[in-house]
Amino acid sequence: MDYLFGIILTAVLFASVCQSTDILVGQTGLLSTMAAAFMSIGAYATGIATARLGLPSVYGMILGACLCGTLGSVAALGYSKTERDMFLVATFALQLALTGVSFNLSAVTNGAEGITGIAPIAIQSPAISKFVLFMAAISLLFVSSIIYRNIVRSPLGRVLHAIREDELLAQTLGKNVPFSKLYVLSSSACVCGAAGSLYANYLGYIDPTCFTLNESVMILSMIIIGGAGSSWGPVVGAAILICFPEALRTVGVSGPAAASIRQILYGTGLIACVVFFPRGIAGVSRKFNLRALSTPPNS
Amino acid sequence: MVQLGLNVLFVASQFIIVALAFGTAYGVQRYFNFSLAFASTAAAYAYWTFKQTNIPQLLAFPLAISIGLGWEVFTRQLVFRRLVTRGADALTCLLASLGLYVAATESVRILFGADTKQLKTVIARPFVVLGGTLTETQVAMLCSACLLACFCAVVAQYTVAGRVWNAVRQDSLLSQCFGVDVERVRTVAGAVAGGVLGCAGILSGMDVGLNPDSGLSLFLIGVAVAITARLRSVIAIVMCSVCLAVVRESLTWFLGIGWRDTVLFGLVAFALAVHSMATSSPSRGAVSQSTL
Repeated sequence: MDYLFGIILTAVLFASVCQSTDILVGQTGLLSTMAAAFMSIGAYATGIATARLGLPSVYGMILGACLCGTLGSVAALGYSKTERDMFLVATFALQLALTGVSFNLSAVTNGAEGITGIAPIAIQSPAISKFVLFMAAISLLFVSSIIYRNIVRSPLGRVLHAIREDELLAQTLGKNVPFSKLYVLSSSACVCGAAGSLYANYLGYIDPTCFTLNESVMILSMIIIGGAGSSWGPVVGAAILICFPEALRTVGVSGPAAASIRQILYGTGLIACVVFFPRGIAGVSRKFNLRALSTPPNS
Repeated sequence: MVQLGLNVLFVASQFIIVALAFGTAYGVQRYFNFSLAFASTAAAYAYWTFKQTNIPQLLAFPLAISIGLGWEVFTRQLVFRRLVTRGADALTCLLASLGLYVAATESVRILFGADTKQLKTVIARPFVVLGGTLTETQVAMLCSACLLACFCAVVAQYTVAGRVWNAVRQDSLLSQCFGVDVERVRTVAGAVAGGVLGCAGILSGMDVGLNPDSGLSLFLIGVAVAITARLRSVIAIVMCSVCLAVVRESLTWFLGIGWRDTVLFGLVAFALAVHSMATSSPSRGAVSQSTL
């Protein structure tokens, strides 16, 4: 039961991370590999707040989300004029630099040993704590869905689409491109930070290997495989890519080999999607729906 | 201080090699090809395997480099050519290259393990220069960088191949109109970059050891230097390499060796932010457009 709870909770948390990152990837056309770095900031904020300062987890979560929002805003300001491919490389470098900082800044992060003894979200009993944690994860997914829906349906969503299609044209038409990027990057970072904080609560410890570049690539793969630019595609992608490695355990593949096989699957999935299904699962499903609609009933 | 200077020299030579390799490929391909990072890893692991099977060094070295080169040709034909023919943009190619890199690196991790492997088992007597020391691998890297920089400068200026490369870099469509086989130029440039990065990967592995992720560090060095130099010329790349090496080694000297990669990746992020801000001003933006 605990095992199943862990899988579902992880899938829900990663689904919210994917959905918030898809505002950047699918709606704005900015590929970011910083989602795991934002999650790690949220997780470390929770770890430091609860295990070192003795504060309740909620404060850690708020602190993590605020820190992530600030860092997201700084990144958006720094890279507002950067070309898309360079933006990806910049987020790549920032992710690696932040992983390095969490390894080396021992005074704050406790280095490779990490922070242990992160207090659960509700301390009354383990069952209540799990229930509260699960409800918090579901609420986060709900919040990220609301943010996604509101952004996509608002005038800002149309500006984001314009940026995705032609940034120069959007700028020429008088749209505030830097502000739009800042808004989506900071809101996405906040959700990622909150998800990282809840994940740290679930694990009870945090170390630098929890959120590395591999996790960022995994999140990007979830979005691309699920279907970027679709509200449910990233959620399906997250569910598949979280559950699939667990299925490997049933055929006897576990440990470091399973982690590597998982990464190989992400990599090949990414290539296959880019080459054969650029719109991912959501695109394939949409194509089938359109085909079904266009087929005459008597044929 | 002498040792710090020698370290800067060595690191700068490493930067020059990888930046020239990356620049050669990026100049004509126009996308960040992460599979180049694996070319370096593949060559270094191939060299390690040849060494384990007692193949002579003189044969193992070119064979290993040809594996890095072959990887680039293989991926170009298998994935990127198809994408380019379909009209895919730089971002799509970049995503595919990221997938290739991840899948290939993890395959290496399964085959060879994640531990750091030593390519050099016999430690030769180091060279003493003004009280500081340089290992023979570091001297080899220094000589390779000098030779490569001179070779690239000569080829780019005085040969037909260099002029064709420059033409494709400036305007691939116009080059195609004048009968240049752009796809072939891109494949050859990628292969050359793969070979040079393979050589850098082997030399770097001999110096500090080898692990599945070492190729990525080399690749990102190339990105940092090439972006800072904006692929203007070989001289610009050399100058930027020296500047970045000074900054990185000075910071590492004071912060500790553990910060080495963190400082490097921080520099990449900083270089990109500066590049972004420099191009945001209209007048400087125009300059950067013309030089790129």
